[in-house]
This record gives sequence, structure tokens and C-alpha cells, in this order.
Amino acid sequence: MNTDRLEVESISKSFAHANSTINILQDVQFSANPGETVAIIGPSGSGKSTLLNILGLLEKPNSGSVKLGESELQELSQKEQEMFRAQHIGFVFQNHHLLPQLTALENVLLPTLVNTNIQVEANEILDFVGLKERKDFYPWQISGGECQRIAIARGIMSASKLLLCDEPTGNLDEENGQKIIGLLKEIAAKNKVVVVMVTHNVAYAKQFDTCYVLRSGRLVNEGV
Amino acid sequence: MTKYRLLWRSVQYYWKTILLVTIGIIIGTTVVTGSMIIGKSVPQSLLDNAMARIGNIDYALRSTKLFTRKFVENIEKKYPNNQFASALMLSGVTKHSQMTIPQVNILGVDDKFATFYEQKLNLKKREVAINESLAKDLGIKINQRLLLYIYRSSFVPTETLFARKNFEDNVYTLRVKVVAILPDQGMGGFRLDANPQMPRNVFVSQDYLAKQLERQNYINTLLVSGDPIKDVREHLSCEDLGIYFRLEKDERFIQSKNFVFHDYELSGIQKALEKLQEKARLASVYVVNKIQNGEEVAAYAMIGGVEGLEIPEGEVFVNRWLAEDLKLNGNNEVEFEYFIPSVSGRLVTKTLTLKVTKKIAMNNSVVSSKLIPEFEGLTNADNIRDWNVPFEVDLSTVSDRDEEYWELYRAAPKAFVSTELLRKMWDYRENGQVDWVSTVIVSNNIDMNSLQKNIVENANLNFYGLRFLPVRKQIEFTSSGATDFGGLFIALNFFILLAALLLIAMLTKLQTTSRASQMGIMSACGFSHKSIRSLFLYEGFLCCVVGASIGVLTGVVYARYIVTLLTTSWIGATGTNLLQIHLNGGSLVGGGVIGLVVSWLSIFYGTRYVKKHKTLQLLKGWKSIVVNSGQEKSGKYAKLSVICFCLAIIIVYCASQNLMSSVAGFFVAGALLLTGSYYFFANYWQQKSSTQLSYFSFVRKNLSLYRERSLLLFLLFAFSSFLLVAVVANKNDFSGVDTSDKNSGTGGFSLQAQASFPLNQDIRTREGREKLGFTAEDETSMAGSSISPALFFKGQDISCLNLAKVVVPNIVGVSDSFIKRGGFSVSGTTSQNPWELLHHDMDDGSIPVFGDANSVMWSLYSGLGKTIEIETATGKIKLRFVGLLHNSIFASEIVMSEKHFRTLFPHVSLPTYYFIEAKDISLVQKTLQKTLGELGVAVRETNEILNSFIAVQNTYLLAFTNLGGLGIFLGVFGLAIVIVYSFIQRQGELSLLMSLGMSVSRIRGILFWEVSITAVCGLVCGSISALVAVYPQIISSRSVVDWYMLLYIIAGLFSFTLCLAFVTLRTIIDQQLANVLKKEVA
Repeated sequence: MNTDRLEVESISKSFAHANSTINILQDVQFSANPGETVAIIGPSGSGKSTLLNILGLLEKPNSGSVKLGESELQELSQKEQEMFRAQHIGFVFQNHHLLPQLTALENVLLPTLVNTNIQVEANEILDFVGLKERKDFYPWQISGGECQRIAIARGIMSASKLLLCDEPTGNLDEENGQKIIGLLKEIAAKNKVVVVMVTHNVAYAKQFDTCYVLRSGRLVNEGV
Repeated sequence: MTKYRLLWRSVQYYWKTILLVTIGIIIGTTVVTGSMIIGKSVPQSLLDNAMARIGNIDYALRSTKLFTRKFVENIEKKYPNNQFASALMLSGVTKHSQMTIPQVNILGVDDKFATFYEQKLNLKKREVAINESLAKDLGIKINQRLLLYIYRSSFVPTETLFARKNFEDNVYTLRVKVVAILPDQGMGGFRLDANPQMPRNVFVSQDYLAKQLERQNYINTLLVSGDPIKDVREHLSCEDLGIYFRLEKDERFIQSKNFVFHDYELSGIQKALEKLQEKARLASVYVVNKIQNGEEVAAYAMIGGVEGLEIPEGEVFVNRWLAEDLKLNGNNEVEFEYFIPSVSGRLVTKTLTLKVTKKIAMNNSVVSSKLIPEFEGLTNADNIRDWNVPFEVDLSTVSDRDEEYWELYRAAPKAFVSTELLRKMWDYRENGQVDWVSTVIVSNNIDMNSLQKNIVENANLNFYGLRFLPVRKQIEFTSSGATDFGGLFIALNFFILLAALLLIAMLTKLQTTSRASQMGIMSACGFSHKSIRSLFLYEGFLCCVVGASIGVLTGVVYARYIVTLLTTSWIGATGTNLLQIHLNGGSLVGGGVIGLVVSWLSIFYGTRYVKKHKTLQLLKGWKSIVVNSGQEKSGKYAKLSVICFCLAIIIVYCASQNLMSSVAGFFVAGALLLTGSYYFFANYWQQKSSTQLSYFSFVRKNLSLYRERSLLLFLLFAFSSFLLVAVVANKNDFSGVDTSDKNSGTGGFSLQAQASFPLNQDIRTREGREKLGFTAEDETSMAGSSISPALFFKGQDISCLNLAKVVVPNIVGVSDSFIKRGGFSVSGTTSQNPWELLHHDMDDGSIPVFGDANSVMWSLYSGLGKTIEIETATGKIKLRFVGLLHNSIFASEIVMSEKHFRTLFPHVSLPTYYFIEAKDISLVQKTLQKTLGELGVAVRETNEILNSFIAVQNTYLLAFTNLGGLGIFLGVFGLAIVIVYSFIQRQGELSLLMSLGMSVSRIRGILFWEVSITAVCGLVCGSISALVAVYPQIISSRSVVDWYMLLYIIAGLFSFTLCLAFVTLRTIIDQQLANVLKKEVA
């Protein structure tokens, strides 16, 4: 069971373009306990995905730190970061990014190629997301919503501590979107993982434990 | 879930694109394997053919002179386990109906000869067997008759008084019947070297031939199968060396069947005498037309010159008979009249007045008829009137007294002069090298056995050709060929290989970039970039294994196809239609492994970008990978392109000024020009923002966006057009060359004539031509022409017409007047007349020579200033290339001065090569062929000779063109794939354009112009680069470029490419475009 708390401190990120500097994130900080769900909302271009990428070690901040338990993630080497991501962090993207040549079950099992220590049973996870009977189907044989649930199942496989979701409901209708939100909350509660979701859907965001707004690069807690 | 399962799934799912990559690998492996098989097959075929021609023969002795059958018997007794066959190998001319074929091998063989081939050949007198090729040339069938003209070389040096010059005296005519036509393969194609050119052979009964030539019991060739013959000298006798002995009172005369001793023969005898510590005197004789004292005349007398007589300059000793005849008393002066051969061959009468200072008794040993070596027609004549000699005898001047002397004393000299004066009589040329010693006089006390033994021991066997050559081993060595066919065909197929590899890299990149988001998610899941790339490399490796395996099999088929071409349409490249495929494990495995490795490296290159891109970029999909960010340093590519172009121009200039090899210049300049073009377009297709957007600027933006893909396609077309244009521009045709241009490859000579045997008359003079049978009408035809003769030593052809390795090259010795005349295109010196270099004496003792640049480089592996070593009768000699001729008529031989030639090849005394300047070329050719054809002279136009040499090169260029065309096909195949892939990947973009109201035809036009501009830019750059790069080659060869063919090829390339792009878009894309919008909306 995960007991590691997520602490994000003073994260700043900017990009140089032509002769100017664009500040994407400025002094972002928040924290979450295991089992908590955090939603981050904001308009397009506010830096939500950038923040998520920093949390997932896909991007480096200009300053600040991310701690998960005792691990200071920015201080890890690239190889250590890859290992950490494989063992503790799961991703769910707006576009499910399922490999078309693998079945649903095989897509879920993909992280096991990197992390052979994964204890979670793929069939159980598929059952958890309600797609056990689809396990031998290929992505092009199932609906978009079902693909997204398979992507979540894949994310759960490696999310022993942190599950990051970037607009997971972006391509889905209301009903499927709601299902996804329900699933994410269930995962957080059951596996005691921190679930951080980035979305522009306020209704979905309000269903999470904590909701932050990212405005002009700064994170504002507007509460639940 | 395992990596192998993921790998297998990916292969199953992406089988179409993987199949395309595999096809590219199959093509690459096919090319490499096929080339390697051909590389082995050609030399193996040469070897097999050459071995079939010698049957079981291991060693051969080919003497420059005839030797006795006794010699053969002695050896046969010593080596009872060996198989022997003797032969008379001569050269001649055959004629049937109107067809005359010169340079035919006349082989006098016995029954044993055919046993080397496990066959039987029983020829009776007047029966011959000929080989297929000769039968075809003559148009003759079995039981038909033909004429043989056989040259019987004179024993006496041919430019001397005693040499028989008439055609009838030296050329024997035999009328024979063809009883068998032998296949070219095997015995019919008999030759003792690996030259693949088919000889023309006539087999005749040895006994019959020897009898006809009045050479019974003599042969010049001994063929052996079995153990090597080690102790040749042990079995030789002086008779085999043509040396015999005569006893005269208390002295022994040593003489030669050649009438006079050659320098090498003489030095051998002198060494033998030195060993025995015996003294010797040298002597010779001459014939004078008359000796006169006032009214008293003695006609046709012999005069002698003997060492030891000590006759002062201007004086003469006479014998008592002459003294009495001419009523000499006191200090009379007598006048001698005698013949001297002139340069023209005409006998010039000279007179000389000498003072008589001594009378010699008739019983003096020097007054002996034996002082004159045996001379058929002279020494065996019963009287002067019966003389049959090669000079005119005015019988009206012969008196009874002269006949009386002849009856009593035969050819015993009547007078004696100093040896210096006698030498001058023999050799009329200044600094001439004619042999004049006819007798070596020793004491009769000498031990004859020891003398003979020592003479044999000290004989220069190389000079006689009395050594057994290991023909089998030599053929094995030379059959490996001067030309590395494996390497040559890899070079010829280089472009296809390159195109296949570029295609593999491009397809791999297209395939993997389309899966960029998969890579992204795998990276997000924790896969390292290395492990992601390795998955694709494993996929690629599977393709390589399958593709290489199939490629090996198709490589065999390809090799068969090429060999078929080499024996039919491309026969000019090899000169033989007897090539066969030889498969061996090395070629198959080697081809497969190389194909696999280079293909895999290409895939490695195609996946290298994976490392460069971050996970986020990969997640964004193929566009973030393919789209050029345009972040290069500004001007970097522009600078690189300028540097490349400048360097290329410098190289082209150097090559055109002969400061470097034009071939090297072509490759370096070509590479620089193509690289410069690449950088130019890389710069031009950089992303730049603009404030306006037109149809064409939109197309250009798309080219910039997908710059790497565009540049790959650009390269494919640039290479292909470069190759094709360079090939056509390099194709030489000398038919239109002005052969009277002294600085061209013909040296200003319009015709070249080669004689099968020496003409014995000076064809340069009217008198000489008259003696050769020229009529007054013929003389009129020859008006204004000039002929330059040259000496020729037959070694091996060093031009590209001979595939076998060269051990001893053909050598031509040109006269001083030829050298003074100059001409041709010679590199390596800036002097006004570079030919003068041939007169130089090199410090290291090497002999200065010229060679054709291509032959020197490719056949002799040498170059300007370098040396090669050859073995001659005089020993090992170094030849140094002091000048290189370009595209000349001397491609088959090395050229040296006549002076050096005579030192190396003393047994070659008369010219057999003639270079002719003519005003009316066809008339002169016709005249020469008509009068000299039967004498075995072949007359050819010099530009025809140049074209025959260039035929091999042009055949290779033809092969290059054909193979290059295959490469173009690959390029176009790649273009079609790019169109399809682009469409699939950009459907969203295209649907957007349609939603904006753009018509299908307009969208099609955008896609069409994107690929067409790329292809056209590639074609233009490649074509221009090729023309610039070949410019020095065109200048130096002075050949005429086929501009129409060039334009035709370029126009063809353009049209084909544009048509294909159009058809692909019309057929594949159009159908899909209509559905694109519906799909996107849905």
C-alpha cells in the first residue's frame, strides 16, 4: 500500500522564444496524500499539461522540486527517472495511445516489459475497468471510451504511487467521461495512489478531492 | 507479455510496410550476391576455358629456333612416366574463296597431341583440322579446300646481303583439305595462355608439314604432361643450338646454321672456350661482284676477314690464284665492287680500292672453302652459274677461270681484308647491330666433347627459348585476370545498391515515424529510448534475415541473367561467349552476410532519430518528428554548399589540365557537386516565415516542413540522373574523329597494318613495293601516303580486350623518324616532343617506355614514372613509363625506341607493324589489302581500332546504363511510396483544405508539385553535376559526345518521373481523397 505523499514545491517553467521569455509556470506548489484525487483546471495554454509532464518526469522545471515520499524526483538521473516512472508513475492521455498490434490485455501488460516486478494482475485490472470480456479485442475493434478505459488500466499497472491523467475525458461523451472519472476516484481510494488529473471540464474537476485552477502560470486553490 | 510477443505482433500488424522494407533488402542482397557470383564466375570460366584448351599439358617448350627430334627422344627416355608430344607451331595465313584470314596458328602435330585431350586426331598428308571459329570466318565446310601460307623464318639476318627476301623463298603455300572442324572448346581452341580471345587454329600432320618446309626431323615445340623437366641442358646438343663443327687441316671451324652467329650465341661459345682456356679467332666472309686490276677481272669472289691476319687499313691480302689471275706484282691497287643492302632493301653497288701487300699460299688454312658456312644455293652449287643466291648474279661477267677456281676451291676466299672493314660490309647502318661473325676458329687439339659440353652449358637458353614453361601454373595465375570482375560489378551495381539502401532507410524512417506516438507511450511507460529503438532494430533484423535469405536466391538468378548478357549483348566486355555461372559457398554466404549487414546498417540509420527526440515529442506523433524545426544555424548549409561548389570547380580545372587523373577528378568533383546541391536545397528548403501565401509558396512550405523526406527523395533522383548522364557523356565514339590530327589518339595516322610475317621488303620505297607486287596503278593510289614501320614483339595484349593477367606485354619498337615526328596525346611531360624521352638512358638501367594510360593503370597496375619488370631472353628488364598516351591506338602494347627494342629482342629484326598516313584512306586501305592480304597483312582504319578498344568501356557503360535504369526504377518506386505515405499521414491536413473549398484536383496538384519539384530538382542537379564532372574526361579523350542521346535520356527521365507521379496520384490518391473528408467529419 502506498504511503508516499506528493509534494510539489515552487515549480517554475519558462521557454525562450525569439528574444523574449514565456513563463508557463510560476512558483506552483501543492501537495496530496496517498488516495487523494487532485484536479487542475485552466484555459488552453495555461500550462496544465506542462505541469503534468513535470510531475511525470517528462519535462524538467527551471526551478522547484517534486517529492514523492522521500524521493526527490528532480535529483534522479535520467535512467533513475525512467526506472521510477516504470515502477511508480502511470499515465493516461487524451488520446489513448494504445498499440494497435496488441490486444486489450496485451496493451495493459505493456508496462511489465519494463518493470517485471509489477504485482498487479492485468486480468483483474481489466475486470476493474469493466472490460474483461474485451481482453482479446484489438483497439480498432472497440469504442473510443473502451480504449480510454484500457489506457487507464495500463496506467494503473505502473501507477503504484502516482497516476497522471491529461484530459482523459477529452475525446469522450458525457456518459463515458463520467465513467472514467468514477474509475479514477475508485483507483485512488482502492490503491491509495495520488491521482492528478488535468482537465478543462469544471464539472469533472469538482468531483475530485481538491481542485486547483491554473491561471497565468500560478496555481490557485479554489477548493471543492 | 514478452518482448518477442510484442515484436511478433508488430511484425504481423505492420506486415505491409515491413514487406516493403524487406523488398528493398532483397534488392540490395540480390545485387551484392549476384556481383560476387559474377566476380567468381568470370575468372573461373576463363580458367576452365583455358584449361580445356591445354588438356593435360603441364609444361611447354616453345623454341625461337628449330631443334632436333633427338633432343625430344633423350628427354622421353629420361622421363618415361611423362606424356610428350612434339609440334611445329608456326604462324600463317589461310585463304578460302575470297576470304583471307591472317594471324592463324599452323600446328604441325602427331598422333600423340590429341591424347592430351583423350581424343584421336589422325591427319594424313594434305589433310587439316580447323577450329569452329576459323571455319566460321572462312565460311568453309568439311571436305572443302583451303590455302595455307606458312612463313618459314630465314636463318640469316634478314637485312643482310645473304637474306632471302622474296615471298616465294620464305612463304610456303600448301593446298589442303579440311577433314574435321573441331569445337572451339578444348583441343580446337588450343593456346598456351589464358587470353580468352579465340585463336584461329589449323592442325596439320607434322611429318607432312616438316617435309613441305624442308625441315624434316626438326620441331620447335615440345608439350609435356607429368613431372617438370629439370635438366634441359643435359639433353641438348650443339646441333639443337644450330652449331656444327668442321675440320680444316689443324684447325676446327665452329659455325652456325644461321650463317652468322648472334651476339648471344657468340658470347656463349667464347665463355665455353674461356673455360677450356682455349684461344679462338673470329672470322667471316663476304661476296664481291668483282675484283679488278686494270683490264683483269675476277668475278664473284669470296673475301674473308680473319682475326690474327693483322691487315692494316687500306690494304688487302690476296691468294696466289687471284694474284696470278689479276697479274699482280709489286704493290698493285685493286678495285673491289660489291653489294650493300640499303635502308630501302635495294642493293647498292659500292666500290673500294685497296692496296695489295701480301700474297697468301693456297695451302694456308684460311684459304678454305670451309670458312664459308653452309649456304643452300651457294656452297652446294657445282658452279657459279648454278648459284641460287638472294642477289643478282651477272653471269656474263663470269669467266672460265672463275669457274675453274670454283671447281677446285669452291667458296674459298680469294682475298682477305681487315675484320673492321668486313664488319662494315655486313652492317651498312651507322651504329647498327648486325651480326657478322660466321666462324670461330680454334685449334684441332681441343677436346671436342668438352667443347660441345661447354658450349651447351654456356648457351643462353632464354635466347633460344629452350626452357619448359609451366603453362598450367601460368594459366592458373593469369586467369585470375587483370580485371576484378567482382569488384567491377559491385561498382556497376553500386547505384542500385545505394538506391536500395536509401530506399530501405527511407521506408524504415517512414514506417517508424508513423509509429512515433507508440514510441512515446512506451517511453512514458518507462521504456528507455535505447530499448524502444532496439525493438525496431529487431524488427529490422528480422526483415534483414528474411530479405537476405531470399536475396541470395534471387542473386543467383540475377547472376545468371548478367552472365547471359555478358555472352550476348554485352559480349564486348569480355570477348568470349564461353562464360558460365560458378556457384560457391563463399559468394552465396558472403553476399547474404553483406546484404544483411549493409541493410541492417541502413535500418540503423533510419531509426537513429529515436534517440534525438524526447518522450513528449514522440507522444505528439509523427509530425513532431518529421516536421523540420528549421533551427539550424543560419547560413550553415549555404556556406557548405558554396565551399563544395568551389572545391568542385577547382578539381574540374585540375583534371582538365591533366594535373590529376580525369577519373579521380570525375569521382571527387561529382561527389562535391552532389553534396553541394544537397546543401543548397537543404538551405533553400528551410522554414521561413512569410507574410503572404500563394499556391507555390504553400508547396514550398510543405517541402520545408518535410525537408528530410524531400532531401532523401532529391538524393535518389540526383544520384540516378548523375549516373545516367555521366555514363552517356562518357560513352566514346571515335568514328567522327579526324584521324589526320597528329595530336589525336591516332597520332595523325589513318591506317594501321599488321603483318603475320615480315615482308622482307621495304614497303616505304617504290622499289620495295614493286617487289611486293604493287602495280603502277597501285602506286598511283598510294600517292601522297607515307608509311612508318615498327618492330613488334608478341607478348600479351595489355588492352581491356584481354581479360587475363599480363605477364609479358606486347611491345612495339618505333624508329627514330617516328620519334622525331612526335604526335599523339602524351601526358607526363611538358617538353615539345615528349617522344624524345624514349631515347633517354635511365640512371637505374630501366628502359623508358610509353603506354596507353588506361592499359597501364588497369592491366599493368602501374602509372607514370613507375616501372614494371618483365623477363626476356636477355634476362629481367625494368620498363619505366616516362609518358602516358591517351585513348591511343597503342592500347594493346607498350612502346619503346627501336634501339632499346633491338637490345631486348635481337631475334626480331624486321618490322611487322606499319602506321600509314593517307589522303584517300579507303583507297589506300583497299590497295594495301589487295596487294598484301595474301602476305598475311591486315589493314585497319585507326578510328576503328580506337572504337574496338573503347568497345569494352562502352559495353561496361551500357551495362552501367541498364543497371542505372534499374536504379531509376527504384527511385521512382520510392517516389510512389512517398506519395502514398504522405497522403495517409496528412489526411487531416488534406481534409482541412477540402473543408476550405479546395478542389480535389487542386489538392492533387499540391501533392504532385511537392514530389515533382523534389524529383526535378534532383534530376537537374544530378545531370548538371554529371556534365561538369565529366568535362575533363571529354576534353582529354577528344571523343564526340552523343548530345542527342543525352538529351533523350534526360528528357526521358523527367517525363517518366512526372508521369509516374501523376498516375500514382490519379489512381491511388483520387479514390481516397473523396472519402477523406467524410472520414474526418465522421
